[in-house]
Amino acid sequence: MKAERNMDAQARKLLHKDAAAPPDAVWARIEAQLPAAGTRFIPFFLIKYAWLGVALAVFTFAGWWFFESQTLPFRHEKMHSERIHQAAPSNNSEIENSETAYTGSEKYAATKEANPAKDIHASLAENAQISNFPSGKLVNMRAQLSHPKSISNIANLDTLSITKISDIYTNNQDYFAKAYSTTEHRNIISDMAPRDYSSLSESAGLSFTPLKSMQPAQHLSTPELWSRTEDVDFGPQPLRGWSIGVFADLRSTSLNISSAREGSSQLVDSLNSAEMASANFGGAISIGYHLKPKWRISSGLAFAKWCRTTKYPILFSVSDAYEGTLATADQTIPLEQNIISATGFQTVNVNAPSQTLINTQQIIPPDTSLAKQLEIEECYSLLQIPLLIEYHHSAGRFNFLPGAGVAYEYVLKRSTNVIGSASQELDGTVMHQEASQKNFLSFIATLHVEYQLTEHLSFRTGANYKAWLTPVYQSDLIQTYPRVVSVDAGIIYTFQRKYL
Amino acid sequence: MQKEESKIIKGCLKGKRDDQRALYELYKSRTYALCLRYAHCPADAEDMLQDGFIKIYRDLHQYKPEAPLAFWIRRVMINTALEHIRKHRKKEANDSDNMRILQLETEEKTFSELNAQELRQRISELPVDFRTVFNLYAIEGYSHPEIAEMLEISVANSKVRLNRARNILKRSIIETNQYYTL
Repeated sequence: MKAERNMDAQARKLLHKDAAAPPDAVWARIEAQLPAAGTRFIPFFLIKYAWLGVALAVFTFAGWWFFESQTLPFRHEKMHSERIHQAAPSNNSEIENSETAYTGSEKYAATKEANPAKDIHASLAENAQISNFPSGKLVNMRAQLSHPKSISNIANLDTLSITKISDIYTNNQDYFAKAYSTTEHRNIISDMAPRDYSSLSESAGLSFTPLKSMQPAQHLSTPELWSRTEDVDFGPQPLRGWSIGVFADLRSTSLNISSAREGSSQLVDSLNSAEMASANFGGAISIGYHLKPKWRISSGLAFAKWCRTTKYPILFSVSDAYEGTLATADQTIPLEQNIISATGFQTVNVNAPSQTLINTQQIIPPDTSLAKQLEIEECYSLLQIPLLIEYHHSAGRFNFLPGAGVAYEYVLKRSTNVIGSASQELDGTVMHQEASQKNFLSFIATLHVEYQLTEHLSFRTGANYKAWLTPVYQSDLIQTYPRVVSVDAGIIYTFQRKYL
Repeated sequence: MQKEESKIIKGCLKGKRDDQRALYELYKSRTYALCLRYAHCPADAEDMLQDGFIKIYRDLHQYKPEAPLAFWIRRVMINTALEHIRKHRKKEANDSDNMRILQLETEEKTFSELNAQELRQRISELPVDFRTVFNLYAIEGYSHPEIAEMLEISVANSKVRLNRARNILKRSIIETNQYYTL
C-alpha cells in the first residue's frame, strides 16, 4: 500500500508541472470556432432556451387576448343598456308570477316605481309577437373542460355536465342574454352552493394572470338587473393589471379547466356575482440528496397558510335562483341538447323530475328579499411533506430542474368565518365542514430554474403543478380533486458542489 | 503576472482576439499535457484542447478571481476530457478484458526511472477506463468517492481500475527496463 502511494506521489511529482507544446494548427482551429473579434459570447442558455421565452410571450398574449375578448360584451352592454330594455325578447307565452316574484325586493320595487315603462316583464308582454329570441351570434361561450375525477360517481352518472353557462350576444348587439342551464336536480345544486372547496377546485392557471380574471364579470341576466336603469350600479368592474403570485391559488372564471361540478359552482357564483381573492403564504425547508450526479431526491417540510375571501354582493336563495326559468314553448329537449346550443332564454327547470323544458315561458325570479351581503373568509393551515425526484440540466450558471413526485398534506387548522349579516343557511346551503378531509395525497410536477450566485448559493424559482390524488372534500354527492398551479422562489445552499 | 492575467481575462470577456490568443499561449502547454494524459492519441488530445479552450472563452464570466485562474482552467479541461471520453468511449476499444494483469512479486519499481514524457506516454497507452481513474486519482488528487460520482461508477470499481492501472504501468516499466538491460 505504501509502495503504491509512493508510486502515485512520484507520478504526481513528475506530471504536476508537465507541459507539452501543441501543434500550431490547434489555435487556428480554435480561432475558427470563436465568434468574430470584439463580439461577446451569447450565453448558452439564451440560445438553447429562447423558445421558452417565445412560448411564454405567446401564452401571455393569448391569455390577454382571451380575457379581453371575454369582457368586451359587458362593456358594450353598458353602453346600450337602454336599448336592452326596449329590445328585450319575448316568446308568445304568458308570463307567470311576474308580479309576485319581486314582492320582497325593495330594490326592484323602487326601480319599477322610478321606471315603470322599463320593466322587463312589461317589455316582454308588449313584445309578445316575437316568437323566439332573435337569431344571435354566440360570441362568448365559456370553455369548460371536464375532469372526470373531479366529480363523484353519482354526479357523473346523472349527467356529465351539471351546469353549463353561456353568454349570448346578438350580431347587432341590440340586446343580450345569458342562458343558464342545469341538467342536475337541485339537491346536487344545493350541495354545490358556494362553499370552500368549490372554488379551491377551480384553482388552475398560471401565476402571471390578469387580476380581472380573478373576479367574475358582472352578470346582468338576473331579473333584478334586467329592470335596472342607467343608475343601477353594475357593481365592481373587473380589476385591471397583472398579478404575480407566490404560491398563489388562482381562480379562472373565464376558462374553467375543471369539472362540471365547478360549472355548477360557477353558476352560483354568476348569479351571486361572487368576488374572490386569495392569498397563500408559506415557507418550506427542503433537503436534497444526489442519487447520481444529475438526479436528486428531495424531501422536506412545508407549512402554508392559505386564506381566501369570497364575497357575494347579492345572494339569492339557491332554490329560488335555480327555479328562475325561462323557456320556449312546448317542447322537450333532451338533456344532451340543453341550453348551450340554444339561442334564447331557455333554461331547464331544475324542479321538473323529468328534466324537460316546461311548457310555458315562465319567470320565477329570485326572491330578492333574501338578498344580502355575504362574505366568507376561509383560512387553512397546511403541513406538507413532499418527496420529489429532480433531474439537473446545467447550462453555465443556470440549472434547469424538471421534477415529479408525491406529497402528503395534513390540514392543521381550518377556519371559516362568515362576515356580514347573512347566515350560512341563507342560501339554503349548510357548509358541510365534516366532509372536508384532513389528510391528502397529491401528485406534484415541478419545473425549476436555479441561478448560481456563488459557489454554494443559488437562487431558485419555478412552477409547481399539484393534482390531488385523494379528495379534499367528500360528501355523498361530490368528491373534489383540485389542481393547482403555483410558482415559488427561494435560495438553495449546496454544501458541496461537484463539477462535471 | 496577476495584473497581466486579469487584463487578459477582461480582454477575453470583451471578445478581444489578442487577449484570447494570449490566454491560450499562457496555458496551452500545461493543458495540452493534461489532455495527452487523458487521450488515447495526440489527435484526441488536440480535440480536447480545442473544445476545452472554446469552453474557457465561453464560460470565463463564471470564473471568480478568488481562486487562481490556472485551477479553474485545469478543472474545465478535466471536465472536457471526461466529456470527450464519454462521447468517444465506443470508438476507443476497451481492451481491459484482454489485458493480462501481471501480479508483480518482484521488488517495487518506481517511476523515477522515467521522465515525464515517458510516463505520460505509458499512461496514454493504458485502457481508457484505467487511464481515466489513474489520472484523476494519482495526478489530480480526487478521492475514490469523487471519481465514482464523476464517472458514474461504484467506489469499488474505481479502486479496481486504479489498481489495474498501477499494475499495467509497473509491468510496462519492468519490460522497458528489461529491454534496456538486454
